[in-house]
Amino acid sequence: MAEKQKVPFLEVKDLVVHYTSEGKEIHAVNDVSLTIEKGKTLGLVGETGAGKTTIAKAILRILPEPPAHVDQGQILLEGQNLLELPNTEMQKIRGKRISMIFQDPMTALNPVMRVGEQIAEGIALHEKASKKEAEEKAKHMLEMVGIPGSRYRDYPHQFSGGMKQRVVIAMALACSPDLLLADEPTTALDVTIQAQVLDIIKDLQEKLNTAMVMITHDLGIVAEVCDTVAVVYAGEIVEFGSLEEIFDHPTHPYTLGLFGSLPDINSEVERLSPIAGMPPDPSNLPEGCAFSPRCPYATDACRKKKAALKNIGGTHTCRCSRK
Amino acid sequence: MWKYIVKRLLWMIPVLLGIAVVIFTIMYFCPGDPATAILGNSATPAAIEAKRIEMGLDRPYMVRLLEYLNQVFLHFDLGTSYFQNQPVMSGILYRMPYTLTIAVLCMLLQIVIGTPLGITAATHQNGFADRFCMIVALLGVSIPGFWLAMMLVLLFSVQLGWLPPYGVGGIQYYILPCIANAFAGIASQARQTRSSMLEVIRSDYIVTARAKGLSERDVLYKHALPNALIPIITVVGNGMGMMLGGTVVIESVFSIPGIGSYTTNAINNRDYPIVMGGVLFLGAVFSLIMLLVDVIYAYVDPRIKAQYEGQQKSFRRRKKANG
Amino acid sequence: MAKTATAGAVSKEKVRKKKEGQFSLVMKRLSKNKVAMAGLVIILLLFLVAILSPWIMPYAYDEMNMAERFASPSLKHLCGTDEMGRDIFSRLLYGARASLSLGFLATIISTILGMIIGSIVGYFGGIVDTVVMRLVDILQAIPGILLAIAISACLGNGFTNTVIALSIGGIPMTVRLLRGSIMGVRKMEYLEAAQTINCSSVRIIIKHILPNSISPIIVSVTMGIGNTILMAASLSYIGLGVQPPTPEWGAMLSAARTYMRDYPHMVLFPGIAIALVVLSLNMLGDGLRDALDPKLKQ
Repeated sequence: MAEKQKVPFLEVKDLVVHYTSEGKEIHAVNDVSLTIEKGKTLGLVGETGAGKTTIAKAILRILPEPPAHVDQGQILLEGQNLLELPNTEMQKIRGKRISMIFQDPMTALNPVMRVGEQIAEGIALHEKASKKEAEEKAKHMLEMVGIPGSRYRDYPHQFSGGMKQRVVIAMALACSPDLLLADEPTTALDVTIQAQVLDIIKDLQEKLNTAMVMITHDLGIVAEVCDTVAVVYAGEIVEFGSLEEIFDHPTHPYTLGLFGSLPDINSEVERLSPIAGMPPDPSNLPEGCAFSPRCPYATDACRKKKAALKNIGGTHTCRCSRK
Repeated sequence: MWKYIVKRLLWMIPVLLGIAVVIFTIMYFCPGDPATAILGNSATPAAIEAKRIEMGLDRPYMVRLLEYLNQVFLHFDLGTSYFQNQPVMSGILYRMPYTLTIAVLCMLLQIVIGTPLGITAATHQNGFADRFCMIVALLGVSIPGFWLAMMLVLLFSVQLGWLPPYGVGGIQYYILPCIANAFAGIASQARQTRSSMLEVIRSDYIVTARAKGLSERDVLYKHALPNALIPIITVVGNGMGMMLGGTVVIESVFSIPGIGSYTTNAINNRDYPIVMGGVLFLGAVFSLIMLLVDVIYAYVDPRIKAQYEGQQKSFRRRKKANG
Repeated sequence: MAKTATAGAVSKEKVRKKKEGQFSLVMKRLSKNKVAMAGLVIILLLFLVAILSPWIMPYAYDEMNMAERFASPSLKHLCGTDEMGRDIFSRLLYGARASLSLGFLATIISTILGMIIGSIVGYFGGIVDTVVMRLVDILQAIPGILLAIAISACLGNGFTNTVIALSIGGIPMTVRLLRGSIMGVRKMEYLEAAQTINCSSVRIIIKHILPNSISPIIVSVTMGIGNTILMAASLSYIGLGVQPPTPEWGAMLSAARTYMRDYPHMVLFPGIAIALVVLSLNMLGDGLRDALDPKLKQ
């Protein structure tokens, strides 16, 4: 109590989210806690359907309710709980302090609105800029992501996928947010474009000193941009640590599995070792450790009781009974 | 765009030719002989035969068809009524204002009442307003228009004596026919608007708009509505066809001397020139409306507009921008 | 040998299970929809009434009783009597036969024809497509009721002719609908996959394309029956279609219009009957559409 703690920039505490679908409860996020520091990048890694996007959308409070429902938890932006803010206050934060890049650029843009206007809209709203100023700034943003400002008046269908994603990025960064939630920003793009888009995000992040949550299932991207990494499995964080801690000492069997299924150019293995089995059905999670049905080291104890997140040195934590 | 409109107008020519062929063929195979109908049953077979030759009814199908097409499309002459001794064209022009007044008023009612009903229902999904709007809409598409007309007459003319039960004159004569005829259109417009809005509200770019920090109002009216309107435009067009057809029956309920009653009476009298002329005229009006719908479509949806006009332009612009 | 046979049986079983699974999923969703179930129950009841009408109607539909002309609704005559003293309630019950069978027959005929034409056109495209679709354009440029009136006038009155008149008008819409959804499905990769394993065209249409475009058809049939019943009533109302003495609801309304000022009950009940049938069909159709719409799963 006596020692004064520094308030982290963004802290997610004990977040629980579930969806309701046809009478079934789908447990998407189960007791997730995270912290992100200013200007740093946190990687959220995990398979499709592990609940990564739900975490990001919950931070921005744009989950569709219903079917989604936040059952408990706190999302503290510099100590202020976003989940308790009235809607009008939250609107001032969205796009201004926290913004998001969406996974699929093909559907993320309004097809009947000029791309420039879609960018300028947020600027005019948050920076109280005149229409003219907003347009200037939007053109500037387009150029920052490598699109000529002259295309301000074009419509989304006139752009390729990679260019649309740049527009989405320009839109997200238009008001220099403090936190950027990037939800698999490169998954829908060609490999050659992926690197470009990633570079753009990284450059802008450094320029604007933005904190970032990078959601991905691609460990290559994690290695390239992240400072800390959280491995998510079935809506829980199973391992958390700095980039070095996770990459040099992967500890949780699931993390190990992720690395095992990654091709490595330096070591010659006969074949990749995929993780056996399928991700669990989130409406019917197994008892005990959610990974136990697929875990080669699982014991009866694992199948009965869930392990807690334990510190295993430095900032490195892991949710496994073996440690 | 103008090129497209001209193209579409030219396309109307074969459509109208087609309608003329179809309706001529149907009438050709109609049982019952106009000559007999004109002279009455007491006429001698010789007199009837002479009349048939005089009217040209004895010639083969192809000759008569080509002659009819020639007369209609090259001389803009719809022929002369068998019984009324009056050119069909002038008969139609005389009756046109009544039919068009009803049709245009109904269309306005459909758009002005149906669209807001649908939006209200969609934005209050599963709430009281939604239930109410949808019950009204469901009734609207289920009640026969002519029966509703009769009920309205019973209530407002017979019981309350507020409005005239039939005939033409001032605006008060149009109130009941328009309500009766427009109810179905209003209802289907409301239903379509609702489902279209609900679908759009679920799309990704609405989440994007929300993530930008826009108020719910702006999300709804600036982003959702313009997109939802696109499929609705088609409904307006189809509804218009329904209403034109509806006027045929409604005119008979209210004894309005419009084109609908002109045509249906002619069917009973075997006055074929009027039937063909009336169908052709209503077909032409409907085609013009559908053309208008398509033009509005292209105006609202930049993707479709681009197909018609902008390809070259934007190609040039892109070329300029890239190098 | 035995082993492969069982394997085949197992996979067939699996396929059947999957199909049943989809079907039962839709039915499960539908059964949860109270409005749709109410619609279904009403429709089934009306069918039952139509079939059983000769036995359950209190009077014969054509039994005249000049002493009781224009009687108001009472316990003796639930919906009153008409200008010839016939019991309106009995006529409504019997009239359900004409209205329901007109609506179902005409819609089903036009849907089947429309599906055949639509799948051929949608699958083959090219010149066939252009020609047929231009014809469809032409037919659709004539307001539906007007086309039905013209054909009906040409063929003459009577049940069969009315069915024909009503079905022709419905074909273009089904063609357009099916062509549209086939065009949508045609670009999908699984069709290419089917082609690469040398599936014949007919097989592709029947096995792959139709099942994928069937949901909008089912919905449009349900709604179409309602519309056809409305149109049939309009036809009888203006003196075409099914005509007296057969009791048809539209024709009853047409006959009653002369007396409607003094005896409103004569127009009230046939109209309610029409509205009830169409309403329940629309309720069922709405429910089916929601149940078949996979987007709702989310």
